Amino acid sequence: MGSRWVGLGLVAGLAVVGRANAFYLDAGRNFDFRARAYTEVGIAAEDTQPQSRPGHKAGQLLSHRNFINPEFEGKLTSYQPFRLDDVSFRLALWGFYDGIYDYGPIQYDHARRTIEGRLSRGYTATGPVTHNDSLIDARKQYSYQCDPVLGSYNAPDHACDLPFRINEAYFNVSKGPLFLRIGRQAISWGESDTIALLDANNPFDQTRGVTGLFEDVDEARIPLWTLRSTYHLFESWGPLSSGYLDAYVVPGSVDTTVSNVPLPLLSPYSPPQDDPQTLIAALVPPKIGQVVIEDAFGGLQVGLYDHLPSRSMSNSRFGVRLGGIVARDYTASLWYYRTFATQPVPRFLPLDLSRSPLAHPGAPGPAQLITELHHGLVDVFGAATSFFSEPADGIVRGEVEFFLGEPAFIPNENLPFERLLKTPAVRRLIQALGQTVPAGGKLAGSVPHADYMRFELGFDRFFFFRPANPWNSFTWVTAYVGQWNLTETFTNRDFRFGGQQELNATGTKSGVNTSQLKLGTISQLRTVAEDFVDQGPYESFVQTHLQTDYMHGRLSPGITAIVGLNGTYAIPMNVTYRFNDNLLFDLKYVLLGGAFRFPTGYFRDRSQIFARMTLLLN
Amino acid sequence: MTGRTGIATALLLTLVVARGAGAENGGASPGGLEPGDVLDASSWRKAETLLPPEILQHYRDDTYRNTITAWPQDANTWPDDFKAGTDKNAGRFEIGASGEILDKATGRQPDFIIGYPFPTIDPADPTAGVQTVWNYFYRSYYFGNLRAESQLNMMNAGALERRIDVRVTFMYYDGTPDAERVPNPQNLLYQQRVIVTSPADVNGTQALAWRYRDPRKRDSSWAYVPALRRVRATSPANRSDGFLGSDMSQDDGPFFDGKPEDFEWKLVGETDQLRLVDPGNMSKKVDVRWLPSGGWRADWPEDLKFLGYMDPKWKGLAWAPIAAQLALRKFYVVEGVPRDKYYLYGKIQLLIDETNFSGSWNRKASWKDEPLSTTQVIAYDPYLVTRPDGKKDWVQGSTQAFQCSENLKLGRATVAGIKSSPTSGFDSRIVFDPSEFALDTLSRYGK
Repeated sequence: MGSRWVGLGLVAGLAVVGRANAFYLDAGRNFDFRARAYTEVGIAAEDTQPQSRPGHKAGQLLSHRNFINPEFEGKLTSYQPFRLDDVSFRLALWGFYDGIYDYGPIQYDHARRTIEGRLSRGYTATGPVTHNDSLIDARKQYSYQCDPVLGSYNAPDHACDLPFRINEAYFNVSKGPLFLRIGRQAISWGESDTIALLDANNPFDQTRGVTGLFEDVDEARIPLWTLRSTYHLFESWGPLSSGYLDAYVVPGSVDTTVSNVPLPLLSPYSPPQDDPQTLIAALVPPKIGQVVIEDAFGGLQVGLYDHLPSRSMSNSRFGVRLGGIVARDYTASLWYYRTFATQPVPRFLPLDLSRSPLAHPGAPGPAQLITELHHGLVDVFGAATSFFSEPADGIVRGEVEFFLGEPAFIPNENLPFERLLKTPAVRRLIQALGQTVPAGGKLAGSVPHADYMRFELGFDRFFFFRPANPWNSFTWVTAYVGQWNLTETFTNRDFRFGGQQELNATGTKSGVNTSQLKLGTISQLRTVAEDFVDQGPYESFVQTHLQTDYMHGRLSPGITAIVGLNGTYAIPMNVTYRFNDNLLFDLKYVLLGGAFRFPTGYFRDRSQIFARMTLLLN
Repeated sequence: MTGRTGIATALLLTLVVARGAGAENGGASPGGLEPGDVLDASSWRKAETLLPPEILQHYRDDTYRNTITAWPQDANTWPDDFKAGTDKNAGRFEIGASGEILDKATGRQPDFIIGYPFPTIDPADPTAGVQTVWNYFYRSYYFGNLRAESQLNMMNAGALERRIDVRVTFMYYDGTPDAERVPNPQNLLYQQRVIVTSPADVNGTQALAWRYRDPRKRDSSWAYVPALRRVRATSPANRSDGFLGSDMSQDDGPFFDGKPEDFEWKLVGETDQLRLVDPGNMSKKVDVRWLPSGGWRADWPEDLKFLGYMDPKWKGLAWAPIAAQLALRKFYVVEGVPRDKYYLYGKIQLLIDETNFSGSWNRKASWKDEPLSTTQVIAYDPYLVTRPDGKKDWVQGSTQAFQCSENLKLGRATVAGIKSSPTSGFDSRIVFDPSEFALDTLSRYGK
C-alpha cells in the first residue's frame, strides 16, 4: 500500500516537473490542488551501545520513510447566499510508509515477532485483564500512521482501516470580527520551537524519539477534531492594538487522541529498555521461579497497556487565549488550556490473578503484572511576548507556562512492587512461607501529580557575514528552554523521569531489589527508586539554529545544536538542494551523544544520516 | 581607492553630469537616438551617457534590446486631486532632524499628506535628497490599496531557476485620495500582507508588516510559519536581505521601499537618462475594469511575452524586459547611506524622475563602494478610469510589469510583479477592512 502511494506520488511529481505555479482546478482559481511526496532513508552512523534493544551497526538502514501529502483547498465564498465574508475549506491527507519491518535489517522484524511482553492498548480500565484491549503491532505503529480517530485499529498484522491520516479537514467561516474553523486542525500557541516542551495544545507522535530530531516537528504533530473561533476585538484601544480572543474545544466524545510514545524494544527509535517479560527473571530468583511463578501463578505475563482516554465529554480539551500588541512594540498573549500531558506516566494496575491458580484453583494462568500508561489531563496557564530589541538588533521572545497537576513519576508510587505484595492471595502465599506483609493500603500504583513551570527565552536575529555568504543573511534562532518542578522543590518529593530506567553494563536496571532477595526474604521486595533516571527539579537546555541560503535559495545549509545543561547534546546538520521547484534533495546528519538524560540523551547512540528526495506538485 | 571603485566613481560622475536638451522634449537624445530607434549592440554607443554603465553593458552585449520612445518631460499626467494637493503643499513642510516631514506651522508631523510634499526641489538645500525621496513615496502612495497575485522569479542569465507565487495586499493610510482615507489611530503608513501560495513546500507561509509614520519607529513584522503552525515576530532590521534567497530585498519594493529616516540622503546631481516604460500604457492601450466587489483590475494582454525567458526565440538575458521601451527623462540623482551599519549595502543611489518623481534605476553598492545590485523598474503614466457610478479614479494603467533586481556580481536577477496567471488579479483602489491586516489574521488563515 505504502509503496503504491509513493509510486503514485512519483508519477504525479514527475508529470509536472517544470511547472511551478499553483495548480488550480477552475478558471476562477477557487479550487487549488497541490501535493508533496518524499522518500527518505535513515542510515546508522554509529554502532549502538550494549544497552540498546534492538542494537544496530553503523551503516545499517534505520528507516525508509515514504510520505505523501496531497492537499485540496477551496474558496466557496462566491457560491454561498449568506453574505458571509469567507467560506472555505481545506483537506490534507498524510500517508506514511516505512519499510523497516518489511525489508530493513532483520532485528526489527525479529523483535516485533518475538517480544514476550504483552503490549496492548484500549479505552477501558480493565481492558488488559478482560483482554478486550487491542494488541499493539509495532509494524502498524511504525510502518503506517493510522488515523487515530477514523477507522478501526484492527487485529495485529492487519492494516488499520485508514492506514493514513486525515491530517486536516476543516471549513472556515468568517463574518465580520468572528472567524470559525470547524474540523480537524492544528492549534499551536506560544513561542516555542524545535523540541515541543511547551507546545502542548496538540499531541505529538513520539514514536520516532525526540520530536524534531529524527522527523520534522510538524510531521509529529497530530491535529485534532476541533471547533475553534477567533474574535477580533479591536484595532486600537489605548496602548493596545490588534486585540483578539481565541477559543477552542476538542469534544472528548469525538477525539481523545493522545501522544504516542516509543514502544520498548521494537524500533530503531526505542529508548534502551528490555523486553518487559524479562522483568520476571529479575523479579524472581531462578531457584524459586518454578515454585512461585509456575505453580502458584500459572506463569506470570508482563504487560504494558496504553490506556487511552475514553471518548467522553469529560475528556474534552479546550482553551482560551487573549492576544494583541502592547504599546505598538510587544506582541503578547495570555492563555489557559486543558490538555492531555504529552508524556504519559506508567503505573501498576492491581496484580491480575483472575486466571491464576493462586486465586482460582485449577485456573490455567497466567497471572498478569500490568503496567498501565496513564494519559492525564493537565491545566495549563501561559503567557508569551516577543519584541524587537534595538540594542540587540533582533527579536526577543519569551514564554512561560504553568502545567498544574501534571501526571508525574515517583517510582515507589507509580510502580510499587511492595504494594503488589499486599494483594490478598499473594499476601497469604507469603505468610505461608513464614513471612509477613502488612495489610491495608493501596494494591496498585498511583499517579502523583506535580506542578511544572516551563519556559523559553529566545532570541532571533539575522546578520550578514560576507566572507561566508556575501548575498544572503544568516538566520540565527536560539533559545534557552527549561522546566522547573515546583512540587519537587517545595515538597522534597523525588520525581523521576517517566519510567525510564538507568543503564547497567548490558541493559537497564530492573527497578526492583530482587538481586538481594531469596525466597525467605521475598516479603522485602520493593521498588528501587534510584534505578530510574532522576528528573532534577530544574532541567534545561539551550537550542540554537543557524542557516543561510545560497544560489537563489536553492542551496540551504543549516546546523542546530541542542545542548542539555546536564550533559546531553544533539547536533543536526542539514543541507537542502533545490534542483528545481518540483524536486528537492536533503541530506542531514544528526550527531548525538552525552549523558543518559533528558532531553536527548536516551538516544545518544543513534547518530544517523538521512537522505531525502522530495517531489512537489505545485 | 581600488581600481574597481575608481571606475565606479568615474562612471557615476559621468552619469551625473550628462545632461542635454533631448529630455526636454523626449525626442532626440544627446547621442542621437530617435524615437523608433532600437538600442542594441549596434547602437549602444549612442546611449553611453544615458544609462547606468551596468545597464548599458547589456545593450552592448546585445542581451538587452529595446526600442526608443518619446515621453516628453512636460507630457506628464497629473491626477487633479494630486495636483491640487501638491499646489497646496508648496512651502508648507520642512525636513526634521531624522529626515521626517514636519509641518512648518506646528513643528509636528502632519496627519496626512496628498500630493508631493515638496513640489519644488532646490538642489542647494541640504535636505533636497530626502525631499526627493519623499516625493517619490507620496506619488506611490497615491495609487492606493493594492491586491495582486504575483510571481517572484529568480533566474540566471539563461533560464528561470525558481518561481515563487505570492498573494500580496497593501493598505495605505497616507497619501491616498481623500475618499480612501481611513482612521489612523496608530499612525500607520501602510500595512502589507504576503501569502506564499507556491511551491508546495512553502505554501501557506505568510508575512505581515506594518510601517509607521513615526520617524524613528521600526516596522512591526510577523510571519506565520506553517512548519511551526504559529505566528512569530520577525526582525524589521533585515530589510536588505534577499527575500527567500532571491536578489530582491524588502527595501527594494516596487523600486525602493526603505524607510527614508533610516538613511542619510544627499542630492548629488541631475541627469538625463533613458528609462524603461510600458508601451501599452504610453499609448493608452490599457484594459482596466471595475470589479463587482470594488476596485480596478488591470487585464494584461494574455499573449504578451515581456521577459526574455518567456520568449523561446530570445537569446539575451532571461530577465531582459523585451517588450518595454526606453524613454529619455530628467532625473535627480539621490544617494542614501544607511544609518544601520549592518545593512547589506553601504550606499544606495536612486534616479528619480524630476517631474513625476517615479523611480527608474536603484543602484546599490557595498560599504567599500563596489557596485553590487541594480533594481530596474518600468514606468507608467497615470490613467483615468470611470466607475459605473461615474466617479473618476486614477490608476497605474499597466499592461505589463518589470521590477527587476539584478545581482551584478553573480550575473543573476530576480523579477517580481508578473501575474501568477493571465487571469490573476492585479487590483488597485481596493477597500480593505483594516482587520485584514490584524495580527490574528495570520493565525486565522494559517494552515
